[in-house]
Amino acid sequence: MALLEVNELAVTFNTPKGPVYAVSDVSFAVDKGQALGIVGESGSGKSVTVKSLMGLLPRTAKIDGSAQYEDVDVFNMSKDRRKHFYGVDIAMVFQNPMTSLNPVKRIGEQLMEGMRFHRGLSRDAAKSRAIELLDLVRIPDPTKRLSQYPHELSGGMRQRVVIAMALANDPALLIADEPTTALDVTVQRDILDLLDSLRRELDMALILITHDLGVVRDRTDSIAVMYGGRVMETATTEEVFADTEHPYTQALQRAIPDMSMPRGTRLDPIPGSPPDLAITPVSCPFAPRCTFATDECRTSIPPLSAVPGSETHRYACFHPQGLVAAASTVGGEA
Amino acid sequence: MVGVGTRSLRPEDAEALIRVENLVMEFPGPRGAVLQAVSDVSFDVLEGETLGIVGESGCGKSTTAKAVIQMPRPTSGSVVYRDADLTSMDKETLRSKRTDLQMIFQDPISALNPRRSVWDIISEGVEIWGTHGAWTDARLVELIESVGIDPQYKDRKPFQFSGGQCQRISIARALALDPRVLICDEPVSALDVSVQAQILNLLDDLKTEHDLTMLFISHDLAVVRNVSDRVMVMYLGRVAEVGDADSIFDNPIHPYTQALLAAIPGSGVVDDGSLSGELPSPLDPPTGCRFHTRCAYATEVCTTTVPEFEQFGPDHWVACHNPQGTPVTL
Repeated sequence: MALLEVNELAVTFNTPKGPVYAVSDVSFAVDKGQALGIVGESGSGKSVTVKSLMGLLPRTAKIDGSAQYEDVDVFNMSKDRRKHFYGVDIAMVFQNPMTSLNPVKRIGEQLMEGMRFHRGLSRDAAKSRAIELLDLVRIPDPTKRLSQYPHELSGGMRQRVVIAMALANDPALLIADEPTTALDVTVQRDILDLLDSLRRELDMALILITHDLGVVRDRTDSIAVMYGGRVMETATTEEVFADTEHPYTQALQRAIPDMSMPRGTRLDPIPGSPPDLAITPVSCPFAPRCTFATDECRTSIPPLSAVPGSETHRYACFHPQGLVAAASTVGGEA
Repeated sequence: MVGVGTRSLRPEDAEALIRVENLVMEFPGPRGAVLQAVSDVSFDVLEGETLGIVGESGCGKSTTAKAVIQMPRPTSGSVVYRDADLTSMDKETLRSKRTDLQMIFQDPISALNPRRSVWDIISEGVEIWGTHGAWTDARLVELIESVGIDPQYKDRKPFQFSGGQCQRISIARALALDPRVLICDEPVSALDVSVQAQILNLLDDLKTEHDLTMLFISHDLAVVRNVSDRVMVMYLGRVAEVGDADSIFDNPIHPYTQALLAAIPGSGVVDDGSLSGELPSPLDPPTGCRFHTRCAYATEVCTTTVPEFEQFGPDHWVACHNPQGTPVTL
């Protein structure tokens, strides 16, 4: 059974200029101990999706659909359950570690705060747990770190502290929203490897949000590609890379320069700009930038269709480009 | 100041457009300490060439590029543009010279004045330097079109454009003065992946069209590989490896370059785990080779002596006591 199941999630912001449809009809599930990658550019709705799950959206946001975490209805839980839900059942790591940490409080205090609140640990017990956590996220000299302030640590170390804080109450699901975007490439890999090994060690589920398909490739079990607030393609990680059905997923792969390309290789950009979410969605959001778009794409929203023979691979497109297209051509000839 | 030397510079008769020698940039730190941002860096860029500068944050790559346009003036060393040394030039002459050297920045939205229209932003330089080029309004409109902005939007303000469009506007502003050199400081890092490729292709087109020489700074090695003829790898204010881009990316010699490449998925370079440590502080950089505290191959000599450039190919220079390859004599 899925640990978290999101069904037909829609988030609309009411702004003075009218509604903005940030997320529409998004469904996905994460199993216990599994890693899901949500891939998308800015404006794709990936962050709004997880913020809705974490109860972090402003009051102007209207949330429809459901999210079921074990026996908890995430959007309709009691105040008391809520108090001990976030940080205990689901925890989150944000993009910029400096803004996640309080600059005027010592690392130790910040680490201990959550455990003392949720578990009622004594100061000493919390302190030894804090040392244990810093050790778990491979921070050298953890005892010394407890009395340091965030500015005394490097960006990579700060992000490790933030991860340690998130792990303090043994969450069953960790959501990491672009956890390495603000960091150097070398540190990026260390943090991603750390998240990956922690997930295995602690048998924790992970939702990794990123704009980079390369990041999720080796580190997730399944992927959901989002664009314009909708899921474009979802499948196991293996399936997405072996058989990319959606033109957007394909374009995303081709637009990124690759170390194996010789210098001066012309890139294959996606023309145009990301969609305007203030318009009522009546068409495929990618249609204006898609080379395969037809009138059908501009007048109706493609539903999520299953790739024949797969229980996990789905795509929202009238003109799939992978094996589905190949199979239908062969079928036509026969 | 002992550095890695100037052996990597091309001979005088190669007629470098920019020739930087023994550049040092120091800033006052807390309690009398000196922040050594750039320590004795020498490089040259030939006309029409693109030099990619890579390294982790804090390695001095942006400071080096800014030193070329004397923003701020370097602590010591020389920056020769054509035949003129910019470091010893008086303020007014430098100001007029700078029209030749233009810059585009990482965050395109904060690089543009939010209260001014696109037209004002792009034409301001031409208004000031009026006689510099034969710019007319019609040519400016052409320029706006050539960067992919519809000229009918020229009276709009930056907030009415997306990040990618703002970067196009910054590029047009830089090109309005007919520069010879374009310095790009992480020009695509803040952009969405789908837009990055558009800007990289645009820069490639404009480079040919305007005969530009480029300094291209980025932490993204795949992007640098795509655009650069030559590459300079920096670590903590010094050059580790410099030379032909293919030679360096296909056959990295310096342990730092190898570690940097190994950090990228799909690069094919095997990681020896040497980069696990922390970047030391530029307020108190390690003695000898500055990379020795994080290097898997470090020996006694690395802690005491600064390595000098040795040659590993026709255009491939490495400053390392324990290079992962065999030097050549040409």
